[in-house]
Amino acid sequence: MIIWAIARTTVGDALRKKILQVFLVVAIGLIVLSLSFSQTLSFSSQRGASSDFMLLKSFGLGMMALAGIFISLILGVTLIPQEFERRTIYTILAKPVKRYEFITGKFLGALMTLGIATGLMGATFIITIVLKAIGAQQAAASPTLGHVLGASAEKIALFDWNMVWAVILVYLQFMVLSSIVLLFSLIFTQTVNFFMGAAVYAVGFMSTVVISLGGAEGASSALRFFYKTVSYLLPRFDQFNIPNQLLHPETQVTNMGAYTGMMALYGLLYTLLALVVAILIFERKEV
Amino acid sequence: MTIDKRKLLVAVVVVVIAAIVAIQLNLEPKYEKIVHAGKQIGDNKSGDMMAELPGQFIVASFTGFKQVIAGALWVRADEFFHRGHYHAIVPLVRMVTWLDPHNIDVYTTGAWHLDYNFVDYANTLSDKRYIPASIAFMKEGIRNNPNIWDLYFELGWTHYARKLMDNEMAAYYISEACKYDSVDVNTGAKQRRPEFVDRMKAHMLEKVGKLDEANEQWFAAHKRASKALEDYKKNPKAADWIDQSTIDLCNRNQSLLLLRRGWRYGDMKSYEQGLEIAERVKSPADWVQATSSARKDFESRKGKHWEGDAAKPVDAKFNASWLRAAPRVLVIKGTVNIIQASEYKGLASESFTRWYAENESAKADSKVKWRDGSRVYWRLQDADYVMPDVNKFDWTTNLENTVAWGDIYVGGGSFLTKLDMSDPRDLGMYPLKAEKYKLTIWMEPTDPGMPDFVQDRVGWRGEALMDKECIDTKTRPGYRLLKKEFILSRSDII
Amino acid sequence: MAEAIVVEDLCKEYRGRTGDRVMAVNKVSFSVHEGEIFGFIGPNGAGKTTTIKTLLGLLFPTSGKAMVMGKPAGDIEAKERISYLPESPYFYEHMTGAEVLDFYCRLFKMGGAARRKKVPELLDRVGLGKDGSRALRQYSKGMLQRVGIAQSLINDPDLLFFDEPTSGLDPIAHKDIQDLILSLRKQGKTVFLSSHQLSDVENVCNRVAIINRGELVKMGTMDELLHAGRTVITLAHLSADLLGKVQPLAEHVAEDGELTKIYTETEENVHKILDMTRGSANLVSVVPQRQTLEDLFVEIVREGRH
Repeated sequence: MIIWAIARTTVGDALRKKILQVFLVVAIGLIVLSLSFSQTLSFSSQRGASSDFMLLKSFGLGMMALAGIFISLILGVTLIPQEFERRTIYTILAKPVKRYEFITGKFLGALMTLGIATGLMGATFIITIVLKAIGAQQAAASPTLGHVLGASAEKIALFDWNMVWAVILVYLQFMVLSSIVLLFSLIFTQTVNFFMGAAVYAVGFMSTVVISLGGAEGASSALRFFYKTVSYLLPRFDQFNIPNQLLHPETQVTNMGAYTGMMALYGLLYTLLALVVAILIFERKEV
Repeated sequence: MTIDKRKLLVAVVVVVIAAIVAIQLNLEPKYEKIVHAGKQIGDNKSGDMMAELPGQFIVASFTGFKQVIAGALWVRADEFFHRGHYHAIVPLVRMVTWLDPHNIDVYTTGAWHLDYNFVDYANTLSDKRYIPASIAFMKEGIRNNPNIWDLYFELGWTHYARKLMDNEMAAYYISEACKYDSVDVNTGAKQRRPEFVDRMKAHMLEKVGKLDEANEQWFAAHKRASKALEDYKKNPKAADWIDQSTIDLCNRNQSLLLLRRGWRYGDMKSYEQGLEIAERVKSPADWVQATSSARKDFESRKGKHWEGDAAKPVDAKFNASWLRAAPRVLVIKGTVNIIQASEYKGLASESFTRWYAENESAKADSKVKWRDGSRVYWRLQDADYVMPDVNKFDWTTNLENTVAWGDIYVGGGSFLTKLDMSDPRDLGMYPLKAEKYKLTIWMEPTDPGMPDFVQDRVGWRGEALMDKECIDTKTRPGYRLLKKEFILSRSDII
Repeated sequence: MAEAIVVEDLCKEYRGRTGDRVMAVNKVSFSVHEGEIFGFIGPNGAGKTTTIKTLLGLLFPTSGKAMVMGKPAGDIEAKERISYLPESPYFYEHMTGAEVLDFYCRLFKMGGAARRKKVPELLDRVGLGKDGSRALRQYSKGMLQRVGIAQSLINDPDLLFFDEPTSGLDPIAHKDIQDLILSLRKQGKTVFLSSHQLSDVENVCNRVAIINRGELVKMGTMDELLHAGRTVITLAHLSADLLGKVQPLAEHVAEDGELTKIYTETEENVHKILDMTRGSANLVSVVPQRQTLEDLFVEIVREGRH
């Protein structure tokens, strides 16, 4: 209950951060706007319909990811240091609140805030796609169209579960990133932490590059081992970015639900790891 | 917290790390499979772009690094191109120019790509419905880059001349190109317009029969090249490389213009001027020999009444027809009677052309060029199709339309081609949704791909062209061409 | 009498950014009895807040012992019975006064019904009954301080730590807080009151400890500290010879023309000096000086500086 109380208060506090609201509003606005501008990016109407979708989806997911990453970084960087700045942490820890309860509450609050932000962006994203799909279906259903278009109209599904999986995967990477940054915020100053977090994301996002560096010809076996180790220890943010299935309906490789589940476990373990280390550090931290 | 609890938590950390590595080992192959899944799909699918392009890439383009992102996207587009994933390129191209409107390569390559690369499987014909988009795209490029020659030339030559066979527009845009120099992308320094742009303007003016203007342009091109050569000799480091061959090229081409004017319209003054210029060129040897052959012809005609080669009417005996060979397969065939080089007997131009056609010392490809190689064109489209106005274009191409055209090589006075629209993969390119279709089969002397000897016989604008029923003077006002039109119903094709 | 706080040889060392070490609290020992108002005074940076934070378990002592309510500092069970009002407290600004108190009530695992009863009660008690539904960002500094006090009363604590409770407040709020502390004393609560506002401490405290530069320099009941006041003996025409004899007995000697002022601390010495000088010098006056805490404080701080 103490953890829940701290988490709830954290959410209320975090959602009122102006900078977070700005990112959220801009992201949602641009996702909605993408409805219109995707049309100008293609040269044709029908054949372009699928490429419009593709662009819309990719843009939406990218927008969510980018805004969410900033929100994750900002939340992770500020949540705990602000408790010190406002001296609220003193009154809280002077109460019969165990230190792990405080940290866990903060983690939970950050994850809930990100959940709300992702939920808003994700809902906008899915509604945008569905609106677009309805429009495309209506066009395709018009009686003058022959079998060619008819075939592509059948392909335009109104709702695609892959969108939901994609949004969940997007959320999972926020979860991992903000947990790591929250952990770092116990050690580093806010500015250092922001860039550290961004770096962790960038390296994790480009893990394939890191791996191929490790496999590069001429690399010594020690170096190769180093790269391999790095790629296993850093969270693989690239693995959360697999819009293929969503954007490429012809791809029938694997069960997205199962993959998402696996990634969820992966993300949760990282979050747990960050939380436990944070608790270990915070127990010994002077406040 | 007690020491025991801490030890427990440390143990938890170790276990969690082990679990993460274990899961990662399990996930990696799954992830690889998903990431590379898109690459196994065939080329005409449109999903490939995003399969490898994280959305962050696109969104990042909203940040300040527009050119960088544009460059990265363009590299991506190039990869897709080499893999044959053409449809994936189109949105990328739009986006790159949107981010970096001064990237000339993206306009030229993108527009060329639209014109040429969406081809059907059965006939390898390009999808003509994208041509308005291509031209509108080029025009947007020109609006964004109005002070360099590159895009004007590209629009005139690649799109109007080669693809639409509209020499008037081609001449206009290439003339525009001759008003500008270029800029070095890396240094921003002014870069001299290459000589071929000026020569191409003269050629295009000649093709559309603006002979005086063409002649003027040859003088201008000659002057410009001479000046460049002087500059280069004075200071080879500062000037672009140029040598005498460029000047010779101007002379040869100008002399040909003047000679043809002489031959075709019996203009002895022009004939003489042409010879004078031709004789200034001392190489290659076959040119010198052809020139002396023409000089003899000139001397033999001097002082005699002569109206020129193109004064004598030519009955084309144009005939064309179509038949349905199978559902969605049309065969177009016909005859045209004037075109073969073997007919050219007793013409003034013969002295020159026959030399090329028959001289053993001439190069093999030159021989072919002078012997045959004329073409007729066919065009099949929805009866009510009107090409979208590129000036009011909104980038969307209506892919419900059917528009196709192509050329047919004429050999021995007859032509034949098969238009196969039955391949299931081509149904999108040939939707055949309209009730009525117009099939046009025509031939025009000004076709830039047509050998010169055709105009030698019928004049620049087809003045000598005659036919009982197929002469058309409306399609291109001021020109005479051969044309036959059929209206087909949907059931005639399907 | 049971001890609410026991501190023995408490040391807290900080390591600065450049690696130099600072003793914020140096071998401090004191104890606070249950039911007393204990004043803990010192200038800014003397180590007051460090001591309080150590007692709350927010900081960990470098060495020494700190017991609160019979448990080591920071013990969760002890925290059930104590509370803390930090200097110039801030809270989550987006919340209303009532919401903040509700949040703090939850930290004591209070049920919904208990919270609904407790929150208005607390607001009334600190005079915010009408402002409970306003967001904290609209609160004045004094109102925030009242919220701070209210949160410190949630668990009806036996021991309260007040860190500079009156700093920056207007005189009325000042008075309210004094009244509150006095009422707590009546209820038998223990208050650990840290302040540099000496007047507060003087009026309400049973005992006072003075800390300067991390060291405890004086401690005792108000009477002990202040009544051990000095006596000023003013003499005229005191010979140099005699002055030399008197000087060891005096705390301080000041000469003012013909007059000599001799400050002594004990009654015994007063009598000795009077005996020695009787007849040799003219006694002008013998005035016992009851010091204010302020004088004492200033004097101690000044000494510390020498």
